[in-house]
Amino acid sequence: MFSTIKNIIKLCFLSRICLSNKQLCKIKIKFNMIVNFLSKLATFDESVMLLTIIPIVKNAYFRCDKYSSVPFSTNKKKSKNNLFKIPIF
Amino acid sequence: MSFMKKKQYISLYEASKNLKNKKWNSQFLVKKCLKNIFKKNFLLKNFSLLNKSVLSDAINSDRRRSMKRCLSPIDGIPISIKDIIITKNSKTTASSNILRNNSLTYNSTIVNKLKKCGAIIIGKTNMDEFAMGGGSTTGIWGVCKNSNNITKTTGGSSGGAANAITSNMCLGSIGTDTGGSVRLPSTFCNTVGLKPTYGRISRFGIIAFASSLDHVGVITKDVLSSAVLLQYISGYDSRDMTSSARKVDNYIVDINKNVSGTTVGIPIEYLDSAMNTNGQKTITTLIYFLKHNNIRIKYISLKKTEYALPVYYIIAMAEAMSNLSRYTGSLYGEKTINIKNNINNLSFLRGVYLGSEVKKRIMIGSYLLTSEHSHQYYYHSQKIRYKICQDVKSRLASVDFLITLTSPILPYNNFSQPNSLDLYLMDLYTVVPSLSGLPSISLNINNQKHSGIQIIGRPFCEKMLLNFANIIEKLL
Repeated sequence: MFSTIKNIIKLCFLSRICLSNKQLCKIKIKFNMIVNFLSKLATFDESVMLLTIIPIVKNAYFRCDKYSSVPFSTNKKKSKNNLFKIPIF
Repeated sequence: MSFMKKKQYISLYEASKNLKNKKWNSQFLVKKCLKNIFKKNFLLKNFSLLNKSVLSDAINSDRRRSMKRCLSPIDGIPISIKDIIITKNSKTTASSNILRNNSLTYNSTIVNKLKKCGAIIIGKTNMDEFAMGGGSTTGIWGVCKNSNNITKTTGGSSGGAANAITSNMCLGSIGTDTGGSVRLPSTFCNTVGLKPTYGRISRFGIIAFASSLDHVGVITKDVLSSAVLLQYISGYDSRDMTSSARKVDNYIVDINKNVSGTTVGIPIEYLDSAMNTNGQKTITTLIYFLKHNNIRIKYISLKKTEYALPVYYIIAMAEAMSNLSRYTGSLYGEKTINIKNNINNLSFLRGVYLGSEVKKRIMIGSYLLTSEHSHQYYYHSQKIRYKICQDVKSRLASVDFLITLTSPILPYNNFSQPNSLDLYLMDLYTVVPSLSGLPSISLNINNQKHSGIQIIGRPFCEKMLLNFANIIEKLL
């Protein structure tokens, strides 16, 4: 958690934004309030996340298969290799 | 019992019919709208810029109609666009001081499509700076005032667009929706706001706020008009990589189809004590009406939605930080004067010209993307976003639609603005469809003092959604 003015000045530098002293003090209060609110995510159980990796790869594979001009669904072994050669954007 | 306020205004659909029957002409419509703009805009601040060639466009449209070369049903209808949508050789400011002299040399896809259909772009509507805000108050063109009660807010960020419809300044409006920016003002201003599926309408030529959450939406007076307008602006665009190649349905054909037997899901998480009494009343009455019209109701649980709001703000702020880093004065934005000391000059320029809300969001975005915190916040929120999407889509497999309130609060007073955290909480019900890219429509229930309902449909099922919304609108 950043609560010091020094940290906020660091962030100003990172964001390429110049702020006056008055604005810095105002923003410091709001920052802590909002970041506290956003920290609610920490209560989410991460163990369920492991399941998500498989469907993402699976979906990417099917999307390539559906929209790619290269018909690689004929040979399954070949198609899996091709998955990483076709640019997905 | 009927909630729906008696129609005081002409809708886009009715205007289209009257133009076809030659009861009216385009010049008449445009002149009526311009009259209202000149009369009320000084107070309401709905429009930021007006199109100079609006009358000549109307004359051309009438000429086309007389020669039986009408381009589409919306040919000759005055439509406004949000000030974030780029138009060729005219200013697009996004209500920001940093872009106050910004004029680009190309049209956005929506503008091209509207022009191709013969629609008349009457002007650009007021909004929050870079669409960041919930009350149309942070822009450089002034604070939007609700035409139903000028002390109340219009909601945001497409407040000008929704209010322009209510005050009869145009017949249809195009807005953008990142976390509820079309649906919230629609509720507060008594209009219909539709946000289609992500990728249904091209985002090419729209100043980006959060690219993975930005949607283009339509605001009209009724559902039929929304269907007509959506029909002509949706479709694939090769210049937008997120645009969908799916065929566009005909939204108008079966819009009055019987919906009895439909199953509707109501999330129990949204029926908690946090909802005000007005909201509870709305939901109770809605359930009564649905049951009496053979629509089945199923109470469902969306457990992960409690994380939706922080997830939305983390992703939106991180993406906003990245998108807005281009406004440095070199390519976009006000030009820097001192080239020698460029970094200091650039920071000074951004500090002076960007508004406080935008600066705050950029700085929080920087904080969330720093190497120390990105895993804790950004990557974590992306994973939870995926889980929320899966959760909502799996629920939509067992029900046809989800119904929630649009806003947890009623329009607040312009003079006693809530703090920034309370403003963020206004998006409580609208962020779930935005995160999952699902289509949703906001309908108003006037009798309940501006507390509207939101209907969420399956991806790319706008036809079904519009049909259901049209029947619900008639019922209420």
